[in-house]
Amino acid sequence: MPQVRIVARNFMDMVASLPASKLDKLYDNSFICEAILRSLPPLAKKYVLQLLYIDGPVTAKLLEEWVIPDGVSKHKVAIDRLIQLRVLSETLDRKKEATYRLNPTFQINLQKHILHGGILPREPMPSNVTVRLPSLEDLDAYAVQQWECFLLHLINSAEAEKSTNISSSMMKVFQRCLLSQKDDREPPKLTESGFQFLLMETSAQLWYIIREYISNSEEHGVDTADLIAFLLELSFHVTGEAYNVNTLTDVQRRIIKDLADLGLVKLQQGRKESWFIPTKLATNLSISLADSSSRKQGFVVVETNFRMYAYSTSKLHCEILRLFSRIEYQLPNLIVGSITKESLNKAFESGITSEQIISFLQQNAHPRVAEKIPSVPENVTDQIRLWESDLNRVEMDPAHLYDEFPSRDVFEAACDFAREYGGLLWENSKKMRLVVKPLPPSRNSHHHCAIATTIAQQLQPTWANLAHHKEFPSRSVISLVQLEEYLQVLEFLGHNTAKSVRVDVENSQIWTPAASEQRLRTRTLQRSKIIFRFFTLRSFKMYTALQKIHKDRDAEPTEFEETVAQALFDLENTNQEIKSDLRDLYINSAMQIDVSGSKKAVAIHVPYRLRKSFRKIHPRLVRELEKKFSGKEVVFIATRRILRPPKKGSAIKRPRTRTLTAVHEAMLEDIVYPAEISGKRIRYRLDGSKIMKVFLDPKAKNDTENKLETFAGVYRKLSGKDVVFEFPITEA
Amino acid sequence: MTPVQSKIYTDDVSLLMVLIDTNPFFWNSINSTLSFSKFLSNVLAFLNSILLLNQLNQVVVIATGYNSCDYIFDSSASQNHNQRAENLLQKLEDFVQKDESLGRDDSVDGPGFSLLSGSLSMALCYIQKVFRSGPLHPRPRILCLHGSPDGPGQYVAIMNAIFSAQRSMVPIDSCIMGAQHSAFLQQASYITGGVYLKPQHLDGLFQYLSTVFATDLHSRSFLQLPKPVGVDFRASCFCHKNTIDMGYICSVCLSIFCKHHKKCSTCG
Repeated sequence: MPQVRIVARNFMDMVASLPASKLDKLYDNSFICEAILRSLPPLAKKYVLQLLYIDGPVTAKLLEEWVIPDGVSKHKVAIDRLIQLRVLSETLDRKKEATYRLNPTFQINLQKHILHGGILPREPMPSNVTVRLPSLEDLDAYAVQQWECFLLHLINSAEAEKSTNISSSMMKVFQRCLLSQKDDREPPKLTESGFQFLLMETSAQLWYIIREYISNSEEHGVDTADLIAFLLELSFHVTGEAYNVNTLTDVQRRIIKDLADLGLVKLQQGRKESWFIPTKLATNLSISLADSSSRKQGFVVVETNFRMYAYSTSKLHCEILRLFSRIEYQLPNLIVGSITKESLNKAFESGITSEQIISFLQQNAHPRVAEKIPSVPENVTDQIRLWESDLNRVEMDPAHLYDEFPSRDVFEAACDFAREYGGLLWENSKKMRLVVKPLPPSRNSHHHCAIATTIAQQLQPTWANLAHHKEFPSRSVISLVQLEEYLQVLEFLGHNTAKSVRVDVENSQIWTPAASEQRLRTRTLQRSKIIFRFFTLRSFKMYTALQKIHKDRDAEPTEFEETVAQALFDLENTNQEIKSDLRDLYINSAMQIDVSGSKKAVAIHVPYRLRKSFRKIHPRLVRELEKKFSGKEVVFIATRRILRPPKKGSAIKRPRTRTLTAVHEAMLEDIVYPAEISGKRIRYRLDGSKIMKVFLDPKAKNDTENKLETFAGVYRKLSGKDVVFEFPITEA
Repeated sequence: MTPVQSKIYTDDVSLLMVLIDTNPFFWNSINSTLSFSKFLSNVLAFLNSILLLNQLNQVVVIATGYNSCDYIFDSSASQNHNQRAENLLQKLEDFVQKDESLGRDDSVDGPGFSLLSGSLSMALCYIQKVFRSGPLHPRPRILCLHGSPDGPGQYVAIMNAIFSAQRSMVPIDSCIMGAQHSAFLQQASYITGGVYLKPQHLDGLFQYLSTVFATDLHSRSFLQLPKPVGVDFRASCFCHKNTIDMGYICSVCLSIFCKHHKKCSTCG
């Protein structure tokens, strides 16, 4: 049994799909045998040749021995093809082994061909009768002209200059898959397959048309086998020679007339007789059978700056290029255009893929650039592919969000069920939320449907649920799960007063304050690309206040520290002047310190490396923070490590900066910033107690005069020592 | 060894150059078990089958005589398809007569040996012409149907031809109809990646040709073909043309001599 699926992609598949009796009858005609042999894959051709003079059956094993292990797949393809076309017949002999035998009529015809050489289907007419035979170049030009005229008519009747003789009903047949007409008043537009058709090679287009023609003729009662036989015979004629029309049957005469309109033959009338001359399009039919590359002359040069130069005068080429590029100007023999993102987007929307555009450019590359590898510059091809994938950046699935499960068991059961039918998109077991694809309609398992409905009934609609229980149309948004995060996203994107954003879920609209004043930015949930992009990049860390604090050893920030961090965060987002400075800054920890009974102070520990940056904005920052924490004083201290004195055994030298005394001195300097310490005195009392006096520079007297107690309190808390701050009276 | 940068068809379109040995001394001797006419009918059937396989296939036949070589048949030259065989046979007859009439005394080897080097060179020249003709051309290969023994005087010329075929990536297949193996053609097939075959039953020559030599270059990578068994790589000396195992080599041009020479005859 053939293992390869038959897809009617080309003519040979059509032949292969004919019923067995018709196929056998076809093989009586030796041209068909030749044509079919030529259309086989190379390995299959070889097998046929080898088996040509072998009369008895050949075991399959023997055939397999001819192939090396790498080529087994090609071997299978070849054998399947041969069996499909009934060239080889497979039988099981007594030992249940498969043997192959060539089709006898096929064999006889080919043997005759080999021994006697090729026979022509009909003789060309003598040259004394045929006058005014066109030269080969004229014939080519005629064929090209007819074909292009036909194509232009196919796409857009208004554009073609000459009229064609093909009846409008025939045209409609050809246009069946290529054009679609929404309205009778509007001109018909090309469908996706229509665009793909335009970008195909001439031989592929030709075969598409012929295939439509054959299926149409079948409906009119012409025998498919005869038609196919005649077409294949035609391809064995010599281009440029005249053949008498009298040698054709009536049916064939009608067919010849149609083919003349397509440009495959040229009809001419003599004094007494008329004859037809096959053009290159006709004789190349059998080459195109085997999907091989054509030898057409290209005309497009693509440069690395995305400009395109097409040396062509044909209107058809201009139309095709207009599909995906922007034509800038057209000279008598040159079309100049450029490939831009907008023009490509237009093409992608019409359903053309980037691969088709690239292969069209490569196949039609001008001979000058065709020799270069690659014929189309790599940056152009890469960019075309990238622009196409831009449009596919976000994948959207229609989905349902389920929230507020009554119990964990129900949630787990729902998850398992979703996983079973392959529809689980996202779940959050901490918050018990689930996003699933809608149930496929073909599932007729009532049991599963029952479970799904009971789960749905148990859920209570939340405000978020309301949005998603309605089935949004397929282009709408999915899993808008954490709306708070969403709001922060808006903040991050620069909508200043994010807290007052209004989300209108029923109408799927989001209103920002700026918008509500002017109605400028009504972004519907469906269209906001930025938000989508944001949500698909789930791995990106959410920029929240928690970024502003980084505690050592992953400890959780306390509430107070969170408020401090939040204050910093808010400050950054609202205040434009220090926004840029604050962006990279974060704190280590913060603590509240009681100072002299009622007053409190906030001591913020700052990473050592960032202390300079903090000092730069110190006055402003302190002012803002004191506003936020009304009444509390704010002090910044750098985090410094204190190491204990090394024990007898350890070899590590403890740096002086890591000693307790050095750290405490540095801490003192941090506390009194922006004032400077001008001097220190230690006064020893008679009972042994120490009092440390610190003299501050009177320059900063105004700012820090009232903070002296705070300083003392903070230092007392942090180091355990009592200090008295003074401003020296005399200028020393 | 980078070949000429050229665009070739990716499938099985091929250009086959067939070099037929027409040396009457061989065909009439006891060495051959096949008559020339039978041989020709096999070859004609084989050529027809090659042209049948693909519309764009090309076949060129060159006859190797003992005094001269000439083109006998070119399928791309426009001629009546019916009368391919007749044309070929006519030209062959003319060639054989001309060859006999030439009868040079100063021929390289003598009448018993065919001018293989000449026909190889003509084939390679034709292939180069095809390479330069247009953007797309078929993949070329050379098939040598040879029977006469190796002429030692042609050693250098044949080796040069083999190396230039290797450089252009043209495989040389050989089918030996004589009684003994041909060292030159064994080396040729080995170096260029072709197939060397000495059929045992010459009556079924067409079957051998169609099974082994009709495979195009694309399919050769998937099929098991006769592998070379023990290629005779011995060189022959430049002065007497004897095959030698050990000899003297010029340090400048690497030419091989059996006796010590003061002055190298090739480069001096």
